[in-house]
Parts: sequence; C-alpha cells; structure tokens
Amino acid sequence: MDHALVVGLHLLHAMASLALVCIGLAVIFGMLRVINFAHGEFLMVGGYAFVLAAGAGLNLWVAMLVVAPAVVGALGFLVERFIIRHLRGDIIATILATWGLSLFLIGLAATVLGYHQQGVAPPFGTIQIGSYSIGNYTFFVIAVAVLTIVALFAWLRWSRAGLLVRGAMQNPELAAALGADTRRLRSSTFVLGSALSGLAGAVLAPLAGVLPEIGATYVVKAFITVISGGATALTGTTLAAALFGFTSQAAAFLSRPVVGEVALLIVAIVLLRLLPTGITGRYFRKAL
Amino acid sequence: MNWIRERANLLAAVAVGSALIVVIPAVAEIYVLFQLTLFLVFAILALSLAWVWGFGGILCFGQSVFFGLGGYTYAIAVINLGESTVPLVLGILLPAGLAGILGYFLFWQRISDVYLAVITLAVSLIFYYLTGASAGSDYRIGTALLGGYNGIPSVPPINVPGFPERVVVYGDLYVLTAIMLAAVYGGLRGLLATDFGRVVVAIRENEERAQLLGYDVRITKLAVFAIGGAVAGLSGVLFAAWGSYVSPNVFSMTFTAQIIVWVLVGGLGTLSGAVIGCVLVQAAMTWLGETKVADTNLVLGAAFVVLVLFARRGLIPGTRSLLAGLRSRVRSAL
Amino acid sequence: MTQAPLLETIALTKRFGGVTAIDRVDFRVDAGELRCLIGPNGAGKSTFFRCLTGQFRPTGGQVRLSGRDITGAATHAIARKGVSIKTQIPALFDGLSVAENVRLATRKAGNRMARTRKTEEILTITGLSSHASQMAGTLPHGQRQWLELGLVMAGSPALMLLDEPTAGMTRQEVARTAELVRSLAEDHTIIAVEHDLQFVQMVADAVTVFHQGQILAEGPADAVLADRRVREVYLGQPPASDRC
Repeated sequence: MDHALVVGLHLLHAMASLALVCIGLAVIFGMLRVINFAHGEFLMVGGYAFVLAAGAGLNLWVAMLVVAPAVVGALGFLVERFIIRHLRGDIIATILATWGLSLFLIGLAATVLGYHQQGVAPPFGTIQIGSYSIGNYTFFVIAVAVLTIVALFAWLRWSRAGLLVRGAMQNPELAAALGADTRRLRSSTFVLGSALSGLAGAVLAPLAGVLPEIGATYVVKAFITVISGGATALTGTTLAAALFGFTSQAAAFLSRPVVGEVALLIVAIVLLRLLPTGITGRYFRKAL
Repeated sequence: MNWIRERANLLAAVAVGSALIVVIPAVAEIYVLFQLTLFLVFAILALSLAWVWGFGGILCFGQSVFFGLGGYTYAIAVINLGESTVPLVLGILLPAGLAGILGYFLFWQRISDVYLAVITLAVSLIFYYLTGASAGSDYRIGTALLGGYNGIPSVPPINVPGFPERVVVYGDLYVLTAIMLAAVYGGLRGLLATDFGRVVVAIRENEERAQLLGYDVRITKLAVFAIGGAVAGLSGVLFAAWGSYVSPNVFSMTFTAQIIVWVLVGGLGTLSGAVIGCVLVQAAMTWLGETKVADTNLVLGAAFVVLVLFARRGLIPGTRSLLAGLRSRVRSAL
Repeated sequence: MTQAPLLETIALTKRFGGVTAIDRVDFRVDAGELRCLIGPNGAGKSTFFRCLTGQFRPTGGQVRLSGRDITGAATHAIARKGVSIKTQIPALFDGLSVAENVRLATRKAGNRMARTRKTEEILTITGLSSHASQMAGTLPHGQRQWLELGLVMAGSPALMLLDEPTAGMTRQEVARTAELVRSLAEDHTIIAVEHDLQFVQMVADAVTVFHQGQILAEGPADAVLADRRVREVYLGQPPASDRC
C-alpha cells in the first residue's frame, strides 16, 4: 500500500516536471511556430537566476517565483526583439540563430560562473510514508505544474488577450486585418513563454541543480513532447507530458533510468508514426 | 558560355582536389596533417547531410546516427576480425540499411518536415542513451567491450586490404581520407547530373508535380536517404580509425547540431558549401579551443546569430549572388 | 459487348468533414473525346480532378480507367497508367531549367536519346525553345501555363486533365491555347475545366456542368449552354456571352 502510494507520487512528479519543462516551449513553438533551440538554456538561465538570487540572501520564494520568470522574460523580450522578429518565420534561419543563441548562453554562463554545478537544497524537508521517505518538495512541483497549466488554460479561454492569441494563431492576417497588433502580440507571447521557462528552470533547480550545459538534457524531451502533442499546443502538450512522463518513469521503475529515457523516445516515435499530426491532430481539435 | 562555366567549375574542383590529395601532404607538418584529416572526415559527413537535406529535401536532424553507427560497427568488427576491409564495408552498409528501414518508416506515411526532424533526432538520442548504458563486462560483442560513456578505446587502424600489418595512419590516412572526400564529392556530383539526380531535385522543388508525372516519391527519398546513410557511415568509419576511438558522444545532441550548422554555414543546396562550412567551423572551434581567447561556445554562438541575421543564405550562395551583383555592376559600368 | 469507356466514375463521392464536395457522380468519357467541365466556383470540379489523379482519396464510389478500377491508387501509379494533369496554378519545378522540367516529364519516351528528342519536340511546340536554359521560376505567367501544358503533353498520356488552361491569359493567348488544345485533341482524350465560355465553345465536343458536387447537365456545347437551368446556376442571370 505504502509502496503503491510512493510509486504513484513518483509517477505524478515525473509527469509534472516534464510538463513544466515543456510549457514555455508549448507557448513559443505551439503558438508562434518558432523553433527555439535555446529553450533548454532559457531553463538554465531561470535556474541560475533563482540560485544566485537566493544565494544573495533574497527570499527563496521571491527568487523562485518572481525573479527567475522576470529575468528570463526580459531575456525573451530581447531575443524576440533583436533576433526572432528579423527572421520572419524562416524555419531554418530560426533553428540556426537559436542554436547559436543556445551556444552563446552556455558560453556566457560558463565564462561568468564556471563549469561547476550549483544548487540550493530542496526546501520543506521530507515526510515518511510507511518505510519510505519522500521530499515534500515533490508535492510542490506537482502543485506548481497543475496551477500553471490551469492558469494558462483559463487565460487563453477567458481573457481578451487569450482570445487575441488564439485568433492570431489561427489566422494572423485576419487578426491583423481586424486591428490586432500582431507584432506586439507575438512579442508578448514570446515573453510569456520565456517567463514560464524561467519559472520551470527555477522550480526544478533544487532537484536537478544548475550548470551551464544542463539545457541539453531538457531541450530534446521538450521538443518531442510538444510536437507529439500536435496542433493544439496546450492540451496536446499536457497530454503528451502526462503520457511520456508516466511511460518513462514506469519503465525506469521496472528497469533502470536509462530504459526510462529510451522508452520515452520510442513511445514518441511510435506515436508520431501512428498519429503523424500529433495527439491533438486527430482528436481534441476544438481544444486549446 | 554555359559550357565554359561548367568546364571552369570542373577545373576548379580538380585543382582543389589534387591540392588536397598531393600538395598538402607534401608540405604540411604531421600534426597539422593529423588535424586536417579530422576536418576532411567531418567534411564527408557534412556532404552526406548536404545531399540528404539540401538536395533530397529531407530535414534530417539525426545524421549523426549513421555516422556513429558506422564508427561503432567498424570498431566492433575490426576488434573482432583484426583486419579492416570487411569492417569498413560493414560500416558503410549497416548505416545504409538502417537509413533504409528508417526511411520506410518515415516516407511511407506522410510525415511533415518538423516531425521527421524530431524523429531522427530521437533516434540519435536513443543510440546515445543505449551506448551510454553499455558500461561493464556484460556488454560486449565478441571481444569488443562497448564501455558505456567511456566508449571503445584502441580501435585498430585501417590496413591495406589483405595485409593486416600494413596500416594506414597519419599521412597515409590523410591521403586516403582526401581521396574518399573527393570520391564522395565527385560521386554525388555525378549522381546529381543523371536523370535520377534530376528527379531527386525535382522532388525537392515540387513533390506533388513529381508524383503527377509518375515518379514514386517515397522510393526516391528512400534511396536518397540510404545513400546519405552510407556516406555518413563511411565518415564514421574513418573517424573511428582516425582517433582509434569511438564513444556515445557521436550520437549527442551537440554533435548532431554541429553537422546541421556546417551545412547551413556553407549554404543549403550546395555540396562545396558543406565542405567549406565544415572546415571553417571546425577550424574556428579548434583554434578557440587551443588558444582559449574566449569560451568556444560563446564566440561560435555569437558568430552564428550574426551570420543568420546578416548572411541568411549561407556563405556559398551569398558569395555567389554577391559576385553576380558585382559582375553585372561592372558590366553596366563598362 | 461495347468497349469500356476510357474513364468512368461510379457514384464517386468526396467528403471533407461535413461538406460533400463531390456527391455520387456518375461520369464517363470515351477515348478520343474532348470534354469541358464547367460550373460555378466551388461546384467540385477541381476536387473531382484530384480524385481522378489520386491526389485525393475518394470517400466512396469508383474510378475506372479503361474498365480497370484505380480508386485510391497512389498518384504516381495513376500517372504511370496514363493520366496527366495541368493543375489550376501551374505546378513546375521552379529551381530547374525549362528544358529540365520538360525532360522530367518524358519518362515514358524511352532511352536518353529518345527523351532528348521528345524534350526538343515539346519545347518547339510550346514555343519555349529560346527559354530552354532559363529557370522555370523566372518565367512570366503565360509561359508558365504553356510550360505546364508541355509537361502534360510530354508524357503522351492516355487522358489529359486540364484545370483552367487559359486562366490569366490574354485574348490572343487564349486563342492560341484553344488552337493547341484542339490539335492535341486529334490524338488524345482531354477533359478540361474552364471558365472561359468562348474557349469552351471553340474547343469542346461536349460539356458537363457541375453544380454543388453533382452533374447538372451534360451534352453538346451549344445545347447545354442554352439550357435555362445551366444559365441560372452558372451565369446567375440571362446570357452573357463573354467571361464570367
């Protein structure tokens, strides 16, 4: 019984952290069709912003929930303004430029902070479930993931800005013709996606630690998940994150962690073979 | 006019080729030659992606799969057999076969560009994790230990077919690699000039029209992909022989991205661009790594961002149109 | 027993979600015919063509070519059986030269020599010889149309489908195209979708009118164009002799 509970918690946690890793990309790739290869580094910057701010004596929660998203959001603003906007949707140019950006950020972090790992111990301590001990922080990660997704859904569904974003996703020309400032809209969507990545990087930092090259461990998983999700970014990503998070964690339990990583990739490939337009390409078309 | 230009191009290619094969080994120091060999090995890999992506229109993010598989196949086979001829052939055929299987998987169902890119990338990472998890004495193929993230050390070099003791190393390996590079370049050029080559380009230009003319797009793409896999495999074999070493890093995200960058820097849709882009990028990275002027990633990253913003189409097409512009300006001035 | 028609569709249907673009169409064309399809925009003509070439997979019904069922076959397989199409917006290989474009279409001509000969022949017929080494992407619109017609001709198809061959052409070009199509009709079977009624009257033996995914009328050109129902749906008002 205790064992089942602990296993269930671990599964939930795997799904939640995968969703967190993906959510910023879901906004940026899913809504703007911008392939941001520097996504992993956005998470890395978020992690550093949190660790450094907390290290400087700032309140832990302010550092995590305010400073990290703000820093990465600002970074996103600059990147959109000075790079992405000028590429005008050229996919290849975007890949190259954001890959360059990714290298640049890694190099910058390494030059300024060095190539060693930094971290903050997970707060909250642990609780005892039967003979197992589990970090309370696990619950916190799950809660943040759920809240973020719910808030994003609500914002898209009910706010005016959300309506505009959805409209511009469907048909940018029409939205522009109807008087929406699509340029500002794209910029703010990019900033939102970046800020969410910053938040995710900070929330995961106490568990994963941060080092300049940590982005590489996130970026591929994130892309695979978001793309497998299909056309409707948010629903798709949430479902895909749940499916992949569950699969890889379950496989890791049954065997070894590496098998979990491989299982995730194989499930993704088979999924894309069966549903070449992603999960929401066929079902949930009306979703967000 | 056209005729003259084609001849000139051919002459230039021959001149560059013979300089690579004959002149450089005669004048360069052994250490430089050793370094150059690696660049040429990578140039072959760059050609394979330039072919698959730039001409076949297949956005493959996992070209490293075939490279790495070629390297691992060669390493494992040559450790077991002690003679390099069969391993070399296997190192080409196995990746080509894998490309064939993957291609069947990818092209028989209409999968869009981005999905194809992600699937190939995922395959590369699967290899990365699997080879990485192969540490310990349980993981061996014949007498070859896979070694996990440490990779396979002491891979025997290539030898003259039939004479295991007559090994091809240093200067000789350079010449062999240069000849291979020239052969691959010439082979792909020749292939592009055939009717098959025209069909390949036609499919890139307009897939639907090609189908309406009765061309089977799937089988053509499969062939393109398999040829690309074979070339990448050859490059992997040479890589393993060059460093007598192969590790999971050949499947890593960083490396596969690097291949894409070589091709993009040189310019998509050219073969010579891929070679030049590859050599330039690798030379820059090596120089930065050695001199430690600044962090390699920092400089390269900034360079790519600037390159994309100001020279979008890559070096070769960019230079070409620049030259064409100059030429017409000169002409109108005369 | 009579010979099977060159092309026959039986209750051919294509639906997109809830929209029925083609609704149980029974249609036949005999070898040697030159048929024009007319009908208002959205009547289903282009969709019908795309079902014939295999670009769309029909939702129901059958397509038969010389009596053989080709429903749902792959596009390239149907093309190899001799169905060739000129699409509405010229589809060319923009990055290849005009001559290379034509050459790619001569795959049935045989060996290299035969293909080269066929290529030159087509370039002459379409008047594109002087542009042979030009990139197809740089041709002006009228010549793009002709080049695509050339691609269709080069395959010596059993059945030619022409989707608006005169779209965007000047009066003179239309007349020249009509001439070309008529001469092609001497040894080919042709189905042409066309809006230009003058063109239709110049070339067609028979006319089929599509309306809301179904065949509204069919018969000799003059009779069909004079039909009151046809004028109502297609012309929207009493006779207009020119373009719509």
